[in-house]
This record gives sequence, structure tokens and C-alpha cells, in this order.
Amino acid sequence: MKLKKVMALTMAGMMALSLAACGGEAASTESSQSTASKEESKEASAAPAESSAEAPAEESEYPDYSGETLSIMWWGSDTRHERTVKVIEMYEELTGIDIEYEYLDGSAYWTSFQAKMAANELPDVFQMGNNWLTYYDTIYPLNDYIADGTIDTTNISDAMLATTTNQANGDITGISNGTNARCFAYNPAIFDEAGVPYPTDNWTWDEFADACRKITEKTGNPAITTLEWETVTYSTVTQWKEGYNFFAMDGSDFAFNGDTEPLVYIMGLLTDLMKEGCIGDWGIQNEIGTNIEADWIAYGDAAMVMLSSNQFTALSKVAAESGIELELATFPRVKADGQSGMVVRSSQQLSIYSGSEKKDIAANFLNFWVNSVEANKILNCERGVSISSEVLSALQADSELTDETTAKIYAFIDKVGSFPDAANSSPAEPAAAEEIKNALKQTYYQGLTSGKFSSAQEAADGFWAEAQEIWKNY
Amino acid sequence: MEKQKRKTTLKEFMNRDNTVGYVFAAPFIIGFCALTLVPMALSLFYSFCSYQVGKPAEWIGLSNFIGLFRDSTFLNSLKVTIQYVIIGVPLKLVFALLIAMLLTKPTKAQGLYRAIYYIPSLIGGSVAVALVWKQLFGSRGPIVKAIKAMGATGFNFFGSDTWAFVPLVLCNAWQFGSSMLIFASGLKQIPKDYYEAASIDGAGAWKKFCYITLPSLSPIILFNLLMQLISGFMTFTQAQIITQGGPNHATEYVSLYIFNQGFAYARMGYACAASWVMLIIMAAVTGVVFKTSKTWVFYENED
Repeated sequence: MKLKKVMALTMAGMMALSLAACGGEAASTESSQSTASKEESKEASAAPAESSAEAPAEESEYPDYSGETLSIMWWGSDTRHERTVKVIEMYEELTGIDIEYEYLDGSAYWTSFQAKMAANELPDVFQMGNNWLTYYDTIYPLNDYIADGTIDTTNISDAMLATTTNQANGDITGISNGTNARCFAYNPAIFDEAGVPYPTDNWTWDEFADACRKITEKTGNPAITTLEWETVTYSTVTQWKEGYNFFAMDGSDFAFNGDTEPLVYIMGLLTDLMKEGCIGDWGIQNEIGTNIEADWIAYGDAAMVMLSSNQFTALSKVAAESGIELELATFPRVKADGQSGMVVRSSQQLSIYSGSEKKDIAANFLNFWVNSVEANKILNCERGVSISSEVLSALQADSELTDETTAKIYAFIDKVGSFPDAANSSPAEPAAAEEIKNALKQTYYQGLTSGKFSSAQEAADGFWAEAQEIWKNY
Repeated sequence: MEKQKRKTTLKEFMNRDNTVGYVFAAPFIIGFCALTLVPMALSLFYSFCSYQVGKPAEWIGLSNFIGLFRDSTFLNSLKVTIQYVIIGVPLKLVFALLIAMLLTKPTKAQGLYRAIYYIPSLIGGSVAVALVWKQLFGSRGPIVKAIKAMGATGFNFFGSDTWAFVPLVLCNAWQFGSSMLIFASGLKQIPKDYYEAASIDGAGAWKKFCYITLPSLSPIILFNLLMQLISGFMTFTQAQIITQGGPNHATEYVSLYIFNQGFAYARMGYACAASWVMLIIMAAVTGVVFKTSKTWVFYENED
């Protein structure tokens, strides 16, 4: 019991600390604004005021919410926090509302989210991932707000709305913060050095393995440090045969007829590469984790990395400090003329809490969030490529906001969207996905590299059996 | 007299020793009930339920416990936890005793040394230290680089299921401060005459240590052993931060397993059951240590 007590205390302590940290942050930004840079803030507030004076129609979009409060919570990196806080302040300026915000890093977010969910104390608006099916009861569908125009979707295509729609019942679970695609980034200089051709749009896993081996032989380092194991595995399943998907699009079942062939193929290929030192070992995988800025590629030691396209901005920024220029590449395919296995999906979304008493205000905020050009000039697609065509074209027109790196991301998302098999929506992640994903990596990939399983076939069979077992628990 | 006793005024009541005691202990008592007793009772109840956070609990009897003993990941986590305790606890105690003995040699800077050696324990359980160890023993850290320089290509502590626990055990041993302080105060209480008498009889340093220091210190060793056993079984921070239980579940200690079941997979009932199993194991181990202590702990006032 001591254990539970200590855990409870640690949790409480961590929460208190993070709250204190956030509170301190908020207070310090506010005080610095009110004292050090009063002039600046006046200028900043003058700008939107002027634009609204020019277009009085817009002013009615933002009602007076003085005295009201709204709470928001999100996860992300420091860049994201800075930008989001600026946008929140802009909204406070426009409506007179007082917004309480809390931000956490990705892993702490879900712990905090669950604790708040258990206590019925979730904020009015929260960031949600593609795992929304797991938290379905906490989400208020936006259909009515979209139908009555509170959230204006005139510049948002149906395909984009579909990325956050529950295919099973049509509920719109949130407003996407932008689209992204899982992809590879590579350092052309290292490819040149090792005499390996650059990845093409339809390069194959064999070419990938070949490139890895040549690069590792040349540099002595892993050619690629981290992989998102479940993503490469599931996308191989998609590539294997038309109509295959690891999870069905509506998240209601598996969708590959229990065919373990693609699993055996990719698990064997990747663990061989790891054993040969071409892929970073489990320690390296774990050290870097989701902290893309710490990846070896940013320091010129690794040639490739797997990431989400919106992370390319942050990664390129760090790499540029070492004089490294990176490019984006698609996933390798099973066959050059086969399926791409790529998907353009919603990176994350903002959702309204089903227990919120301020749903109307929250909906108004979401409208501002997705449609305001000014706000998105600050956010600048850090969370993903904006789903509003008007916002996106305004950003693209501004060369200061759309630098070379951002342009590469836009072009890449366009390219992936044009692949015939890249559906413009992401499958809903079933509740069992998280546990299946961890079992795949921690038990079966790691077991295969450590010799617990004698063959990829044995590991793949074990995984498929366990995945079905886990599924039954949810 | 009797009448007077019954009519105690508020002032008298408040000035009673017992009342004063309870009032001063109230913060702890309230905290203990709210943060320990109630959660404990709830977790016992939930351990017999299928309980997902946010959904009503459903009574399922012993299914959680039966499931646990069929769960190879849980059994593995028990195995690695016991391995960690068996290696980590003695290492830490030996280390703490060694430093304590060095520090009882009277020098002017004794206080300073003690303070310096105690610092790791103050910050020891924190996330920051875990992050430092992650860097230190990481694939780009100085230690792995040194090992690689000696010719072990591709070596990486956290990449190997055989070696991953070593930095964790060392990190734990490094936080020897509180055990060290307790040992140091125990060492001071050993009467000097024992050593003088032994010297006259011609005993060397090793004999003195074995026949005087260890027996005299045995009650303290017992105390430290119990405390460290309990904290060893509850190891969480380092595993969560540094290795996240990997690779191949080699460092997935029970507390981390419980955390994952409860918070990552929202399976609270199952997690509660696992923590009760853990409690029973810890109680059993502590009980065994207590039972055997009669044979090796020496109390001076015993006749």
C-alpha cells in the first residue's frame, strides 16, 4: 500500500508542480507584458483593433465575453506553448474573456487528462489526438455548431472535416489543428558521402535496407536512429495488399484478415538491420523518444529519421545550427509499384468537453482558432498544415511565414495527398491501440532482437495472438 | 471530585495532554486518513472490480488476481523487481556503511563532508537526477564512450536487456545519504572501550569490524535493511524516466507496471489488484526479515 501512497503523493506533487510552473509562467508573461513592454502590447493590441475597425462585420464575430472565463489545455513543445499563449492573449483582447490555460509535454498530458477526467474537472477546450475514440464520452460533438455557423466551415473541405469525424455515426469530434503525414527526413550530404541514391517517391524497403547498410558501413553510426515501430508495421500491412489496413477505418476491428505475412516481412527486415547496427538500438530509441530535436540526424551523425511532417520545422531549425539541410521522403514501399501506405491525417484537434458549461463560448473560440488569419499567422502551421484554405493561402502568400522548410512541408503534404491510396482521413484509433502498440514494440520487436523469439514468424504469430487478446479486453 | 471531573470546561479539555497531542497530530491524522486510509480502502475495493477511470466500477470477484498470475508481463516484472532488490539493496547498504565509517574518522571538515554526501539523497528521487543519469549512461554519454574506446563497439547500457538495470542500481546506490547518516549515528554510539579492549587483546581492524562494529550495529542494519527493501520494491522514477521499462521489459518494475496498467491503459481495477499483490509480497519479505532478525540482531540490553 505504501506503493500506492507514494505514487499518489508523487502524482499529486507532480501535478502541483506542473500547475505551479504553469501558473508562474502565465503570471510572468502577464507581468512582463504589463510592465516591461507596455508600449509593445499597446501596439499589438492596436493592430487587431484597427483591422476590426476597417471591417465592422468582423467585430460581430467576436462577442463581448468580459467577466467570463474559459479553460484550455494542450500538449506540445516550447515553440507551441509560446505561440498558443500569444493566440490566447489575442482572443482575450478581442472578447474581454479571461482564459485559464495549462500546457504539458506529450506524455504528462495524458496522465493529467485521465486524472481530470476521473474528477470530472476537464477544461472546456482540450487538445485531443487521433485516440479520441478512447475518450469519446468526454467529447461534445460539434455538428450543431457547424450547422448553425458558430464554427464557420466555408473554407474547410469535407475531406478535412472528415479527418476528425467519427465514421460510424457522423459525430464531428473536434476541429483539426492541421494535417500532417508520417514520413522520413534525410540528410542528402550523408547519402552522397556513402554513394547511395536519394530516396525516391516510391523507394522500397529493400532499397532502404541497402542504403542503411552502406551508410552505417561508411559512418560507423546507425543510419537511422529512431522509428515509430507501430507506424512502419501498420503501414507495411497497408502496403501489402489493396484493402488491407491494420485497423479498420472506423476503428471497429482489424482489417487484414489476420495475414501475418506483412508482419513477418517488416519485423524480420527491421530487427536484422538493428542487429547489424544500422538502426539505433533500444537504448537510443528510448533516449531520443519523441524529442525529435535530440535526434542524431540533427547533429550529422545519422542519415535518416522518422517523424511527423509538422515536426520537420523544429528538426530543421536545430539541424541548421550545425549547417545541415534536410529533405523529406515518403515511407519505403514493399513493391515500387505497390501501395504507398501513407496517409494525410489530422495531427491533433481541439475538442469541447462534454461536461462544459461554456460550450457556446468554446465553440466561438474554436471558430477563431481555425479561421482567424491573424491567429494562424502566429500559429503558422506548427501543429500541422492549416485545414482552412483561406488561412493556408494567406500564410503561403507571406514569404516571411512560409520559409523554405515550411514550403517543403506544404509540397510534401500535397504530394502525399495525391497518392491514389492516401485516403484523406485517418482511421479512428481504437481504444485498444495504445496497448497493442506497446505490446508490439516492447514485447515482440524487443523480444525478437534479444533472441526471445527464434524467428520473425514466431514473433509475428505471438503478436497477432496477443493483439486479438488485448482487443477483447476493451 | 466526581462532579468536578464531569464538568470539564473547554479550557480544561483543551489543556489536557491527550487533547494537545491529538491537536498537534491532527494534520498528520487528517492527511493519513484522506491520503492513505481512504485510498487504500478504495483500492482494495477496486481490486475486485473491473474499473476504468470515468466509468462505473463493476464487481468481478477474483478475476483481476487470477489474470495477474496468468500475465507473463506481470510475472516478469516481479522477477526483475526481486532481482533489482537483491542486487541493489545490499550494494547500497555496503556503500552507505563504508562511507559512514570513513566519515566517523574525526576530522574538522566532517560536517561538510556529511552534508555533501547527503545531497544526492535529497535530490535523489527526482526526475532531474534520473535525466542526468540518462545522459551519463546514455549512448552518447561519457561512460559508454569510455567503454567503446576500450573496444566494445556498439555497447549501450540501455540498449541491452542484460545491462540496462546496472545504471538504475547504481543510481539507487548513489543515493545512500539517509542510510549513511543513520549508520554514522549508530557508529558513534558504539562504546570506545570495546575497541580499546580489543586493541589490547591484539585484534586487527578487520576483526574489530567483524566482532564489534557489525554486532553493535546490527539493530541499525536491520532498520536500514527494512527501509531499503521497501523503497527498493517501490522503485519507480528511474525506470519510468530512464528506460521506460525497456528493453524487452528488462527494467519494467512492478510499480512501473502498475502505473502503466492504471494510467496508460486506464485499467484501474487491475492496477489496484497488482499493487495489493505487491503489498502482500513486501509484507511477507519484511516479515521474514523480522523473523530471522532474532538470530542475527544483537540488542545490548538483552540479557
